[in-house]
Formats: sequence, structure tokens, C-alpha cells
Amino acid sequence: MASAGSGDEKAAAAAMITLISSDNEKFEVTEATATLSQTIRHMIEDGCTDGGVPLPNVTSKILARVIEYCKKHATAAAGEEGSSSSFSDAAFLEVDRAFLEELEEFDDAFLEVDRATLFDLILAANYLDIKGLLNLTCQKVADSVKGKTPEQIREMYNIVNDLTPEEEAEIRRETQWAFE
Amino acid sequence: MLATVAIPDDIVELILLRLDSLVSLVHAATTCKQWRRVVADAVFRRRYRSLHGPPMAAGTYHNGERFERPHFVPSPSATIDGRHFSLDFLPDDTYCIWTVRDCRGSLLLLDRLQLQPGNGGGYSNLVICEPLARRYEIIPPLSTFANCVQLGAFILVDGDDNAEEGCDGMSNFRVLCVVHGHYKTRAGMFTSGSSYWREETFYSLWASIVGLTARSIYLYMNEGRVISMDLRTSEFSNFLLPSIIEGWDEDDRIRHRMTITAGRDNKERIVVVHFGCKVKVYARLDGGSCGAEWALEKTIEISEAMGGVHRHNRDWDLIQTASLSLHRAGSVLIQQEQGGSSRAKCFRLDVETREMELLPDHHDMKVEVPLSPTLRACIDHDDGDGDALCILVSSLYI
Repeated sequence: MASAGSGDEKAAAAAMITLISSDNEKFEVTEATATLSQTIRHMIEDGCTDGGVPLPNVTSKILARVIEYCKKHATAAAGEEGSSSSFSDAAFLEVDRAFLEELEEFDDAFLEVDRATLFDLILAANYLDIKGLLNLTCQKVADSVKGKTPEQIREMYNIVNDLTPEEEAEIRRETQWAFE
Repeated sequence: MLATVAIPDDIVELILLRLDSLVSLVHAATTCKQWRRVVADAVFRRRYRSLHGPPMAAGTYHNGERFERPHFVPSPSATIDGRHFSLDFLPDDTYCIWTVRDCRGSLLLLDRLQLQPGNGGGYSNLVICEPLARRYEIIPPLSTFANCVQLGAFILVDGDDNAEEGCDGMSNFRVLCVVHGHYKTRAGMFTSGSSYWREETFYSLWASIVGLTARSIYLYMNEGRVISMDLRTSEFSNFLLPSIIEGWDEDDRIRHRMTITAGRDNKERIVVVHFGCKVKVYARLDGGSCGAEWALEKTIEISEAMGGVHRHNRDWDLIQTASLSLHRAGSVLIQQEQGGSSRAKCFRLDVETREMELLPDHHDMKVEVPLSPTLRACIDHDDGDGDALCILVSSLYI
């Protein structure tokens, strides 16, 4: 944004958007928070956010968590923009580092949820097109799968094994090296 | 599928792309149909390769004694059990001579010569196989005439015409083969899933392969004629070697001392070794357009490229029929006999930067074609799960 800092921009940043969950709960958030979602950003650009943004795919429980994430990371994004002009300033970099560490701690704590919620967050992040949240949650699932046997993975995520015994035997035969 | 919520394929893909161990990837692919489907997708595997870096060599295949099958020698850095690379799954025929022709990705191209007991004759087939998946496919013979000589057989994989190599195993490969006999040269392309070769025949007293690049193969025929085949379109074109190339004639000298390669600009270059120690590079005038005249572009003293260290008493030769896995734009492969029982040393000479790179020792130089039967199985080496080969994933096709 070339015109960052102009009066219009400040007014826009303070504008509030209403998000409506599938169970009809309303959440008031700043535009800066809401636009972490590319989906909502496009709706704002198209001017169709008056009267609130209905999100029929997201429950209030999940939407509350998503907003919590967006609030924290919107501040982070604003912080980055503010410090970019004095990038070479060692003191600023030090502040940035502390802030990033705090953000990482926030992310770790944020991911302390049960597995069903984790998948709900992934679906919401995908639907709302929030890249950072999608990355974070997918990585969490991938980390939990690492080093697990197929049986352990199925158990962990309630995955129904719909492979026929023949199909499974075929894969195991051809990838024998991975099952030793 | 996940019992609680339906997760779309593209999200499963996002998750599985983040698995940095191939053992984990195989385990994930064994959990259910959906996850297997995602991993088996060619696009997924291409993305996975580009995210997790280039593969490492698992080891090499070496051609054995007369009736022995080629055997696998794991590379020192690999801790995989070499048994998984055994070729004991290939059909058990007595009187068969198996020879490795090429290796790309997880695939191995072999020539199977079946001898007819008694009369000393035999017939040969190309066989493509994926050792880790223990699968093979016998390719129908290219040539319909007997007693022809195979000039070269190569595996082509997707991405050969750009820098990134990708291999989808048995489901997606092409084999290029050139044979000569009875004054005929036949070049053919076999695509996985088909049952016949797309081939073209040329009449010539003799022919030899003088160059193989990511885009084309070059055949040198009598009377200075060069025929090139576009590897993507299988279209042929031809040109005459320019008279400017000193002393070109029908004798063997020029055949082994001349190769055609392509620069980083994709323009063709004729590279000739003079007096065994000097490399001359010819390029077309007029910006390289076809039909334009050739002119000397540069001369490289091999001793200078070597930094002054090389044995002067032995000549350098060009290697014209190496596996495409060794090909790099702007480069040619040259070798120097070491004398005695030691193997020839093989180098890649970049004719643009004049840099020479010694190719690793484990290339079995005794096998002429290919130069390096290296199985480029992708080893995931930075993970506690032990070594694993990503090529295995390709075997998840059902």
C-alpha cells in the first residue's frame, strides 16, 4: 500500500465488520483483523459486507478461535509494516525478535486443542482462506503423523480403513522397506 | 476417510506435503483410500519432490558376468538394505543375458538377450522395471529385422526438457531406442501404457549416436549427415556437418571425436576433440538459426580446464551415449583412459564456463551404456526414521 498512513487508511483500519457464524452468533472485529481472511477481504472489496458477513460453514466455537488467531496475527502484520522503514535499526530488530517469539508461543498454545477441533480449524482456515492459520494447523497434523504406523494414524484421527485387505497387502508388499 | 468430518483431498494434500520422512508418507498412504489416492497423484509427488529437495543416489547397478543378473551396490551413505534392490523378481529364464542400459529415478532399463540353445543365435527385448516395487514390463521389440545392433537405449522422464527431473515410476515413462542393421537405422520411442513403438527408419551404411541432450538425440550417418530427433515431438530433421570441421571423413576418428550438445541458450553446438587434448566448439552464425553456417566459437585446452594437472600422454575421448541423468546444458562428457587396469576417468566439461567436473567414482565405467547405472532412489537422509526412498510412493498406484 503506497498510501499507507493517509487519513483514509486510518479510518478504514478502524472500521468494524460483523461476522455471523453458522449458529447465528455475531462477532464484531476490526477490518484489519477480518482481512487476514482473503475470502472476507474480497467481500469487503466488493462492498458486500453491510449487514454482516454470514459464514454458514463455521460454528461460533471455531469462529471465536479463528478470530483470536487473526487478532494476534493482525497486530503482528501491523508491527512488521511499522518497523520496515527502520529495518537496519538493531533495537527494532531486537523488539521484532521478542515479538516473534511471543507469536510463536501464542501459536503453540493456540494449537493445544483436541483433534476434532484441529480439523475444524483447518476447514475454517481453508474456507476463509487464511494462509498462516492453514499452514500452522496442517503442520500440526503432519507433525502428529510423523513416525506413526498406519494403525496408529487411523486410531489417532478415527480414520476408517476402507482399503480391502488385498489392497493393503499390495501396498505393504511394494513398500516393504518402509515397514521394517 | 476421516470418520468425524470429510476432509477434502486438497487439504489432505497440504498435510501430507509437510511430512518430511518418506517412511511417514508411505505409512500415511496406507491408512485409507483417500490418503492413498492423494499420495499416488503425480502432481502431488512432483510437489513433494520440489519441496523436499533433490534425491540422493541409493547405489548403483553393475552388470555381472555372462549369465549373472546385474547386482546392486548400495552407496556408502545409504543404509538401506541392498536386498530391496535385488533383481530376483525378473522372469527366470535360463540362457538369458541381462544388461543394464539406463537408470532414471526409480526405473531401470535392461536389455534381455535370450540365447537359443544350440544354434548360438538369440533375440533381445528391452525390459523396464522398478526394483523397489518389484515390478517389470517387457517392452515389445523395436526392430523387425534380425541381427541388428542396438546403438543405444535410454529412459526419458517428464521434465527432461527443463532442469527439474521427475519420475513417476512405471506409470509414466518413455524409452528411446536406436538400432542399426542391414543398412537401415531405426529410431523409436515407446511410451508407457502403449503396446507399440513410434518409429522411423533411415537408410544408411552405418550410423552412430553422437549426442543426447534433454531435447534431442543426434545420429551421425555416412556422408556427414546428422539426423536429429526431437524427443518431445518425435519429429526428425537433418543437417550436414560443415566442412569447416577439419578433416571430417568417413573414418572412425570423427565419429568418436565429435558430439553435438545444446548450450544454455538451447542452441546446438558441435564439439570436437582435436589431437586428443584440445576441444573446439562450433556454433551457428546468425544467432543459431537452422541452415545458417557454422563457425568456430571457441577452443578449450583441456589441460587449462584441468588447472594444468593432467596426464598428457593419453588422449581424451567424448562420451556420446551417456544416460540423460548425466546431461547438463552447455556441457559435454569426456573421458581419459588411465592405463593398466584402472578405469577411465570421466569428466563433465562445461564448454561455456570451461569448468571440468570429475564425475563420482561409483559410476561403473565398465558398462559403456549407460555410463552410470545409478539408481537415483530418493533417500530421505535427515530424519530419524532411517533411510527411505520416495520413489516407493509411485508403487502406490493400483
